[in-house]
Amino acid sequence: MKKKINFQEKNKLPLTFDYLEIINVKKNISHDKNVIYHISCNICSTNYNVRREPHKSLVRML
Amino acid sequence: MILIVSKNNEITTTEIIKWLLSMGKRFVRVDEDELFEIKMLNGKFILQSERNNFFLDDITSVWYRRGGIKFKRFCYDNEAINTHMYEAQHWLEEYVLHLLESKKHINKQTKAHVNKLLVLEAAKKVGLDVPNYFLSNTTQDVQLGKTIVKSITGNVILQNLTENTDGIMYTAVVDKKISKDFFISFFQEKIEKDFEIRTFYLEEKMWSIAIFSQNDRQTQLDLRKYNTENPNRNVRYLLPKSVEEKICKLMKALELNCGSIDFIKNGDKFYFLEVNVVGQFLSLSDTCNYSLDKVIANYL
Repeated sequence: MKKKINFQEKNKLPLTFDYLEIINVKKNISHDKNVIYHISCNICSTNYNVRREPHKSLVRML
Repeated sequence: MILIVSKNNEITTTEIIKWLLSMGKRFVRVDEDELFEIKMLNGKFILQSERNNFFLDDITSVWYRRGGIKFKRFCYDNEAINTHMYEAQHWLEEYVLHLLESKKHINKQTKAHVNKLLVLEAAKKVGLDVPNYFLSNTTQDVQLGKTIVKSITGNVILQNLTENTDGIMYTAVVDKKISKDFFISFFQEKIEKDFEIRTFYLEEKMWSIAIFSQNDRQTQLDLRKYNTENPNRNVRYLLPKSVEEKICKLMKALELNCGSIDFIKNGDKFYFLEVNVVGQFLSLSDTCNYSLDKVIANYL
């Protein structure tokens, strides 16, 4: 989404700000609350280990 | 033991750690939220944070990925003593970083941030083709439609610019003259491209990918405007020997032994754009089956 923001800065900004693209962050977040995208992993020392394969439901496993 | 300096939420680091685990290599991962105290035990330096502690002597190689090792500094009540001790701690920290960086390493914390303008000058010096560029605070010398403007910063994302919005500074073609002057900006000749090349460099070895971004209006100016519906075609690519030799010279001049380098191919010319020291390379690796994560884990 491209929209122009009027920056109220007293000092000058580079020309790149005239071409700045604005992204609506909230709109882009469509995470399903029932899905865990990251998990903590002590072995890899991170809280953001990406869960690559979704859990298979028990019904499918049966 | 391998020291990895990174950030908690950094997927590339985690992927390489998985290779290290499979290779049975020991490592310690340092994240951005850790503060280290420099201590000595039995005449040996030891770095201690709430999560990690290790002897400097035990570190055999260092991978600087992102972030940096930060140190805890003591404050003193007496102003004169505080000033003196601030300097003393500064030099001690610098010495410790120097000791770490003198080990086998992939990039260095003290060389992680490159100045794009100096990199372009260095690229010209080693004989690489660089699109003409200039700095200006007006559009007076700008040829509309034939000049691009881009940021000289490493990070082009302005997070939380306003409530719920981020801003991204993609490369843009200047399409209108501005009557007022502005903060000094970076302008560069727009090069029509046959395709783009991204090269991953590690210690004089190179792995390249050709990215056909020019056929898609969304990505033709800046491939970071990814088209997820219809992604750019990416294939393995081999740069000419002469270009690879110049890249080696450039990386040595910049004191870097790892990084991602961007080119535009136009006819028989390879136009150098920039070096990204801490860029993403796993996508390139996966697409071309280069296994760069394994290459890095092997190197460490």
